[in-house]
Amino acid sequence: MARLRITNLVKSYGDQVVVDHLTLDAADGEFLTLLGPSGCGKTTILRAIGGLVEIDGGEIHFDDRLMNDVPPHKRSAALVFQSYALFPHMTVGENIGFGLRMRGVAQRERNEAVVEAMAMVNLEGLTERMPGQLSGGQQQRVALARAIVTRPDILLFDEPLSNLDAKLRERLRIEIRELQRRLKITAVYVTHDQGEAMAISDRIVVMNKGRIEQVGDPATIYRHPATSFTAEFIGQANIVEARVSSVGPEGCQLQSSVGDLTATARPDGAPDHVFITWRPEDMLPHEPGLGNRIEARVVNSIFMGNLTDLFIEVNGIVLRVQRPGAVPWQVGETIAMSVPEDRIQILR
Amino acid sequence: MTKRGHRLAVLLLVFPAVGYVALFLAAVLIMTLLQSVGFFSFTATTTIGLDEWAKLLDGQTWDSFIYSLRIALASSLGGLFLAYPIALYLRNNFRGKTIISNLLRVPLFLPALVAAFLILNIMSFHGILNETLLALRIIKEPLRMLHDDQGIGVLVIQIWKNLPFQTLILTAVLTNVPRELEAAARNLGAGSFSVFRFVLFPLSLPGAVTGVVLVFIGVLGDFAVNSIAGPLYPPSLAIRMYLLGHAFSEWGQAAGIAIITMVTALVFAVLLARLAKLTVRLVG
Amino acid sequence: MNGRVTFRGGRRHGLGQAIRSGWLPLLLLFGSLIIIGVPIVMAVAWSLVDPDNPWSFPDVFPPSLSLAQWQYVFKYTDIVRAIVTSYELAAASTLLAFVLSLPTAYAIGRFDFRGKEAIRILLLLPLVLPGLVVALFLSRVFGFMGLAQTFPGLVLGHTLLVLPYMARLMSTSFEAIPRDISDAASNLGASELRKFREIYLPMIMPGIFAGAILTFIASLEEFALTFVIGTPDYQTIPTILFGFLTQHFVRTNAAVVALILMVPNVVMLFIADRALRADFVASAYGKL
Repeated sequence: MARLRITNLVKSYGDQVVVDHLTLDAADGEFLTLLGPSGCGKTTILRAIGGLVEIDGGEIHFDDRLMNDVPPHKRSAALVFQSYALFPHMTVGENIGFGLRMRGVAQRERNEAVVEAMAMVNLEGLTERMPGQLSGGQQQRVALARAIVTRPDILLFDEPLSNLDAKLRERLRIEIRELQRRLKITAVYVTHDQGEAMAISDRIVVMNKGRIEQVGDPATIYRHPATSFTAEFIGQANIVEARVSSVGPEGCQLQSSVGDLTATARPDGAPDHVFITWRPEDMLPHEPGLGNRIEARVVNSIFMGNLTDLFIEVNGIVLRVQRPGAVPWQVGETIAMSVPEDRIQILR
Repeated sequence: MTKRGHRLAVLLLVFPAVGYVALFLAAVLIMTLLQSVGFFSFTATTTIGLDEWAKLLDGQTWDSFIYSLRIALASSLGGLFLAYPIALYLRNNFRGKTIISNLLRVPLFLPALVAAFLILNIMSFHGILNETLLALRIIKEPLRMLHDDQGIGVLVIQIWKNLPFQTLILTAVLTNVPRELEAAARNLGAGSFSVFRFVLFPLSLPGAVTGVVLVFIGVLGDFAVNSIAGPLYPPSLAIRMYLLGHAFSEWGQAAGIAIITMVTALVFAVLLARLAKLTVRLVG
Repeated sequence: MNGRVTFRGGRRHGLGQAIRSGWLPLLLLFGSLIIIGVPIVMAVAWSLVDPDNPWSFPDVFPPSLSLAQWQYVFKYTDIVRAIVTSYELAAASTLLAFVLSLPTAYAIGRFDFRGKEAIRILLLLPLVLPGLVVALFLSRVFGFMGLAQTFPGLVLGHTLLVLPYMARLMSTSFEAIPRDISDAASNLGASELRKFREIYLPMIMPGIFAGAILTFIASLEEFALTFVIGTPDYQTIPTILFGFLTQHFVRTNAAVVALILMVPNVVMLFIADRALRADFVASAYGKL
């Protein structure tokens, strides 16, 4: 168990800066997720923590220990690989016990620890099998057991579930989270799947092009995205340009391209032009008494079973609306919708 | 490990094999070059100069050169020409494909000596080939196919031995051409020949060239097969080189032939690469 | 990617029809059987000729078979000594090639460094240069070093010529180990040395085995160099065969020696092929 501190991390490949002066923290026992599209640098950061990648600048600390010059096999930061990376010529038991063997743990204690780890990941009885004989899900569990059996300071996950089918993914991510909680090991988890990140993280670091867009717990990130990237990467978002016509103690008035709106949020500083965003599922059919009325024409309606994706057009701008179940409106109809004042976010 | 330490470690690691090969090959090449300009030429005397080359470049050397070149070109380029239809056909699945593929692999495993002997048997004056042709009344008298002036025997042996190799390379290269390209071409209206001309041929020729060059070098510098089945005159370049060196101790001249052989091989490799690119552009 | 091309466009063509129907494949099968099979059968036949019942035309096959030729060759020629020399030479040069290639193959397979491509090409050069050129002038070099016509000289020469096979196969095997596996081992605490012992070596065993066999066979079959620096003191199976095919031409002797050369090689190659199939690394890849 250790606190992770990364300060001003820099990594370039040739001319390309892949990680750009990045600073982040993970508290002891926290489950931190690095979330972003491919190429945003999240895997590089993970490997840098593990010492598998040489960094060009910045510092990495486990608690108060500077790890920069510590070689990978001396760091205690076990990594669960996307490809599992099980040693094909060793049995499941030997794979899991490998880390302990490298530390000089005696055979008997090793075997006990291996059996315990296998029970924790629900893999009893497969000790003598070879990795090639296991299913994808089982291999993943072996990789997990192999990482936790050494009780590392930090647990690293490199998109461990992306090779599995959807149902298995959903089941395993919960198991991973519960295991981590039980063992209280600091975990850094890399994924591009925002649903996964939202489901299991204590905090999410949204990344783009080597930089941090936003850090926060899932609810905050979802409800209060700070940048348009975050707004669009997590869930769906309507992003609209607006001019700030007045700011008051309880919010502000906006003149947007879809009409005049009132928001309870207030912009930082005193810009006159901002981008605002709200979630499709926050829009309601307009009723008398509701503010922020938007009259628009339905251009597309997609029924998904449990909800309907609705696309409406106003002033040449297409907004997205999400309603539970089916909707009574036809394509071509003009309808009136409303956006709750407290659901409008002002983006940086 | 530091960057410099790392580099040093790598250097130490590659040194054994690399050092060994580099040392001996350098020794061979230097020895060849030196000998060709007169060092250690006749017994232990050393007269530096181009005398050796003057002695060498006579009609006999030219005859050997043309002969070896002819056989090498026929084996390598001719082999490629023959290998293409076979390799193309082997892309399909048909009954007996595995057997044929395995059969074709057999000559690969045989050293040139054995291949020469096997074919020698078949093509000898009283060998089975002559017997069959006589029995079918295609010829009236047995053909002399070995030790003939044209080197037919040698050519047949070389093709028998090397065609499977070229076919194998070509098959591998053709497999690397994505199936979808072929399907796309057909979808757009290309018949079998057009698919070959515009898709398979251009994409496979560069890879096939390696095989051609390797066969060329092997046949150009051949000693064993020519000794066994080649014409009395002209001898292959390698045989002439051997005789000059071992029998007449004219090491300078022998070195000269060695250099001629290697330079020819190099020139051929370079020319072929260019020619391949040109052909692809013209035909495809 | 499974390759099956159906000649959709050729359905109307006569050629397409022939290809898909039976007769062209059958013709090819028959043809290749004859072209490949007959020479081999003939060689075997010649080795089994009964000296009391000589084989000459018009008989297609020898009238009676006997092992007399084999007995003759083993009793009255130098073949036994040649066999011993051949196999000793092969063992020695394979061992030397292995020792020299192991560190190099490891470096090429696991590290990135400048000049790697050049080194790869250099290691292939002995195979590319014309055989007799290398043989003749290496013999001159050896002559000056006092190594001509000596067993150590032969070993050194053979090692030079077979090293490319060993180095190539081993470096490919090292390369095939997925980077993730080596990273995982580091991550779990293995130093470079331990990785080499516990992870790399076990995983490349099939490759080493196959490489050793191919190298061994290459040495057994080597002719030009042995001919130039070995004879007449040292004979190997190929040089004896050469003798029976040129100076002392006796077809039956040649047939026997050719088979002595061929048969063990084919058997060994078969074993090597099997070894490469039962490859951990290959199956590790397969699961990804």
